[in-house]
Amino acid sequence: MYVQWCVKGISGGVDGINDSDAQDMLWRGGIQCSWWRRVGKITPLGIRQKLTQANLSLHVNNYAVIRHDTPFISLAAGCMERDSGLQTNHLHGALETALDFATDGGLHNGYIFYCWTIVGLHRAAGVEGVSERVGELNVYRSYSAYQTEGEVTAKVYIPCNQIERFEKWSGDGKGLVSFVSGCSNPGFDPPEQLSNIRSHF
Amino acid sequence: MAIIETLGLDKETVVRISLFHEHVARHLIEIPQIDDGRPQVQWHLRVATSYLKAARTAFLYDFERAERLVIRAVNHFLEAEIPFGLFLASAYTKHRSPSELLFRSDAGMWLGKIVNHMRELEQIGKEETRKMEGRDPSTPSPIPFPLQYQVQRLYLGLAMAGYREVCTEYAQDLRILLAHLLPYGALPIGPQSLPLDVYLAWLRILLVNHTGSAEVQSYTDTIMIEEGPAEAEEVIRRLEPMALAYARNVTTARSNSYLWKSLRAPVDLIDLDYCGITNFVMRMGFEPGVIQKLAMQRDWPMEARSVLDLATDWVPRRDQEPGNTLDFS
Repeated sequence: MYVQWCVKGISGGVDGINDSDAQDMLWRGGIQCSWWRRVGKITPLGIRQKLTQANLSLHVNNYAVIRHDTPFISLAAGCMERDSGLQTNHLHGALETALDFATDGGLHNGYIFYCWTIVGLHRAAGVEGVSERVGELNVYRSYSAYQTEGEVTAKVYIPCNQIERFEKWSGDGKGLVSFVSGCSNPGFDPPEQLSNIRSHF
Repeated sequence: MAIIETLGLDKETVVRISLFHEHVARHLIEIPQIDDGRPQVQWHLRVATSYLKAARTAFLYDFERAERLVIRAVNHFLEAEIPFGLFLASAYTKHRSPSELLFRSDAGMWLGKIVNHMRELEQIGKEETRKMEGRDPSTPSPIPFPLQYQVQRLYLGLAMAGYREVCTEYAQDLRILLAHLLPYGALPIGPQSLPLDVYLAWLRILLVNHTGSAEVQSYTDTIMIEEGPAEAEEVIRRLEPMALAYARNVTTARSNSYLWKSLRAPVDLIDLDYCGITNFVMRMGFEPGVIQKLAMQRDWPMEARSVLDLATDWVPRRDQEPGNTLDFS
């Protein structure tokens, strides 16, 4: 397993969040999956039933169907297309992808959360503790069509102490996006404390 | 029917998304990532990718804007010494004399380095044999690492073969490059992940049509290609794999209407390779009407024909416009 820094874009549009929601997520609530947000209360058994390969496939390939009921959380980690920039030349940055989703291409405001998550090396849709690098061609070959989003898929919940900060961006409705403000998290736990390097006594 | 309608997209969304990607590129430019006093290659690639995303959507409604955006991407590719930028520049520049621009660019030097590198490697191969006889082999001189990729070498070759003057001047080295790339024909390349062989056919056609010689040279062999200069029928036959792959990928992507309508489908709305190569074809003197008619006769899907129409009408229309000073050097 490894620690992956990611960016999460959340809409600040009509159905999205506002400044107060964003601050609450950063300092207290963390980022919940849309299934949890919709039903209000979830159970361990419910989580077991939701975390399936089939639901992950729907989340990645047919989001419109599962958008209000998904136990997964899409994060952007950036992507060197086809894993080699010099072969096909395109580098999709995490910020660009998250901004696009958060502001709907500059249509409205959006919030960008910078967080880290633990990613497994193999497919493990049912294991709640690790995120899936669905854009990794060597792991998720069948999902390669969506690789350019550079997606890492977290599960159920990202605790607030794994979120370093958020940025608010404005969209003018015509495609122009501008940085508005940022807010950091005093309770953030840096991932370095999970380092597997131990010093001698 | 306008291409935007053929693709079932909303113009307002297309315009907004194009502007969005351009603004993102500008934002990235404001925060350059520096390594050893120079912007990182990855930073250049991020900016260039955002400009290309903006350009691909802009091609659906505003040519002038799209061309400007491509050239901005080109500047970043070239700063990163990536020959793909030269291919885009060669295909999309509006300069009155693209050949002049290519002569002034690093293209000739890059091609020379690649050919020399290949020559040295071959020499080392011989020295390896001598090593067995008790002599030390030398090592090849270093080559910028983007030039080590076969795909980048191909884009460089296409950029240079696209114009008669440049193609003629560097014909010898381009023939060597073509021979060197032949064994890599199965390597996937481009937005549609087509075999490199599909592109290589174009390098050969451009070489044969511009220089009149069907000769391909490696160090040990001279291979004569049987086919002569390409006629319209062959042009359309060679474009077909690109056109059909583009149409198939677009059709597949449209089945996910959520991503398609929001322009986030993982497919290039405009295939800049397909359009760029079509640009080179038109510069060989083919009539747009003839090419378009042949595509229709071969029952190309509407999506593929729309992009072909876009690209074939492009060169004649652009040549009627006043030249501008857009430069990529």
